[in-house]
Amino acid sequence: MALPPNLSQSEFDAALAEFRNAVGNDWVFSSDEDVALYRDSYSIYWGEEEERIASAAVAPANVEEVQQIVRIANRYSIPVYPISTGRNLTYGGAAPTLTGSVVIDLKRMNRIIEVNDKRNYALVEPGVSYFDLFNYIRENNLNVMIDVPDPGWGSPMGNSLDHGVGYTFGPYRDHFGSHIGLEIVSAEGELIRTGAGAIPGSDAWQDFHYGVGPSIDGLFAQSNFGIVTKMGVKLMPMPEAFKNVTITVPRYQDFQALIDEVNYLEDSYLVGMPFYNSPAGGGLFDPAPMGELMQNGWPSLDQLEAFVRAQGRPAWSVSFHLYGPQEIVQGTWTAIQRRFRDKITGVAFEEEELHNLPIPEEDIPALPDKAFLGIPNLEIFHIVNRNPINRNDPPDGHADMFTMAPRTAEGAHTAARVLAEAYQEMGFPPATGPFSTPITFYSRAFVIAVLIPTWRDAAKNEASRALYAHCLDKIAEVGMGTYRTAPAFQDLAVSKYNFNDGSLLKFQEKLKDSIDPNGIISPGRYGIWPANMRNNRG
Amino acid sequence: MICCILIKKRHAGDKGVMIKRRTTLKIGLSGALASAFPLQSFAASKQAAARTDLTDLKVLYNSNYAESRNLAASMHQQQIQLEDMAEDLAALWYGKLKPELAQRPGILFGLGDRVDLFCIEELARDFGMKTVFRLEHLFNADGSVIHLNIKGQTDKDVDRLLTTVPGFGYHLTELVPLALQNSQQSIDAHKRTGPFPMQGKSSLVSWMIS
Repeated sequence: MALPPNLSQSEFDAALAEFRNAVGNDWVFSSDEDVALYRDSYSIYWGEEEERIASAAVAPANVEEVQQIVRIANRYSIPVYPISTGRNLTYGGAAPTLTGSVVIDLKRMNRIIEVNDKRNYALVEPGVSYFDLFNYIRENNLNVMIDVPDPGWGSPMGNSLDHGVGYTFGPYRDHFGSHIGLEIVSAEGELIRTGAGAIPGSDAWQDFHYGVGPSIDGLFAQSNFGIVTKMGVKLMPMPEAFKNVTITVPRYQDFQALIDEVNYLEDSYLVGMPFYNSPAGGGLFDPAPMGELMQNGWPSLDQLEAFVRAQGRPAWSVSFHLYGPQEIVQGTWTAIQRRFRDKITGVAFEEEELHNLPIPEEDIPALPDKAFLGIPNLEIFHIVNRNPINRNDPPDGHADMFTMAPRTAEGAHTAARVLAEAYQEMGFPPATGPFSTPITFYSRAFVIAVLIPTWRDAAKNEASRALYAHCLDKIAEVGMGTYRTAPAFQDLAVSKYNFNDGSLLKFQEKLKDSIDPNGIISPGRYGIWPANMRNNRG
Repeated sequence: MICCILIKKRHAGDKGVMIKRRTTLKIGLSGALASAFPLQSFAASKQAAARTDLTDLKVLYNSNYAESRNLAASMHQQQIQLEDMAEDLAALWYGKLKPELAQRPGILFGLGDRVDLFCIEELARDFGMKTVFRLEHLFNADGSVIHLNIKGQTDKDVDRLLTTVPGFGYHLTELVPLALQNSQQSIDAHKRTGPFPMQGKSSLVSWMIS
């Protein structure tokens, strides 16, 4: 068993006794077999000395118990690491950032306090899963839709606080962006509510997020400044209907015009999440053979246009859902087609049937894209499993790297090219290419994703770590970074956001030292180390 | 309805669910299975008590796979809960297994692909449950089957019980006593792999989570 840093076994035993006194014997887990449950299944240090391992786990039932745990942790200088459901794999799962931390497992705090389908919000505790919230809404015939990540086994709170994302309208699929009001146990055990929730007796906590004065909500996402114990979630009123539509453009060089128009539609809140694809380049499961095209390095525009013509398929496509009353959906679709015809020669359109919402219970199992309609599911594991790329040398997991790029064709192509070169420089076949398409998890940025494999094999993990670090270095050279990452890479990823000699991180560390003087909450999370552990920075 | 039960339980508090779960299950299951499975091959079975309550065991199969369907077929006459993982694993867990396990501790015994195991393994942490037994079943091109334990080795007891030809699913529940024995030994079976399939092999995995 790992021990908390600088703590003897007897001191730790004394702390565990106090934890048991606070939450009950049954909710403190300190045996090796129980602590093993909190290992990160996708750890890129699996089985190595550097693997992040908890020393114990504590599962409080309520806010008061969280406060007691924090006060005990302060007395013993024990680092604690709060998790909600702890299933955000590729970002650490249930394992702490610092070995020896005590995981605060908030699974028992799982009350859906309110779902309001007139003012369109929910108020939830950390242990509420997306499935719980979805089921509650359907059981109670509430007229709201949730936005879910994929896989959907996490919690709205945990996913939001990790800057998680979904698949519907822009304002809702940015999950932290759609939170409204937090309740926080500070590092010193004080209870805080943000926004209108700071007014005693306020009924507007989930209506007004600012309150008055500085808003501190952002400090509690991807951070270690406190433990969030309640969160409001903005919910989308259940649309009357949706229609899925696809637009294709014939030439490689049409990509920028396509993006410009989609940006207009997205930023006007006229369409759901755009899904870019390249019919000529092939999808994830059926990539077109590009060996000849790539044999002399990155191809020229003429070569790319010739390749597209040879494939006999459009260079690019974008699909999205249109949501709303039937009249609005049809009218929006008519307007969209007009706008594209005016701008891009050879543009073509496809549309599917209009479907009413909510989806009847009996139709849900057969739905192909449940997450697009706010239906949580675990099908992503089977989809990834079927990926032929994984059949050659199937990994045990993956460490995702999401390169944030400007919403332009050049931005997407640059990220894809830099990542491809980084892979080749490290001896790996490139995972991106000239036809790589951006993901629009965030409505105002592009994401170019690569999934770097993790293993139960130390030598392979060492190579993966080197690849991941090299990719981070290379994209930083062109002014790009990632928006979240596994604990193993958080220090490096944060180090790239180093404008003015790292003034942002310096500011965050000053805050950390002030509001968490003993440095007990999630030391090292996203590069923020307390003063007494700053030499741990990797 | 299930959701309502969950909500009520939340308000009522759920202390006590974890109390001595493993001890209770080890005693209960070894006895419970005595009435349902041929236990004569294993020493552990000889210690089986007279208890015949089978409600602690839930057998999970995946109807996408022939051997898993064989497992289900073999359970047809047993008074043991049988669940299909093929349609919607999430609905199965959140809609059925999780509320049931919150009410009463149980043991999960399954045969499916690695995704099935991986997901259930992660979800079961909510109840402090871990994978205590795991056996990979590899299908060779010649039709034979190899059963590999967590050390990547064959086991003569297992081969004798299951045979190395198709149809082993019919006999799989005979492994339950062996799995129960292993549950008292180590955590080596837990999180052995990720969700991805074995390289170049058609394979399934059987497991016990308790």
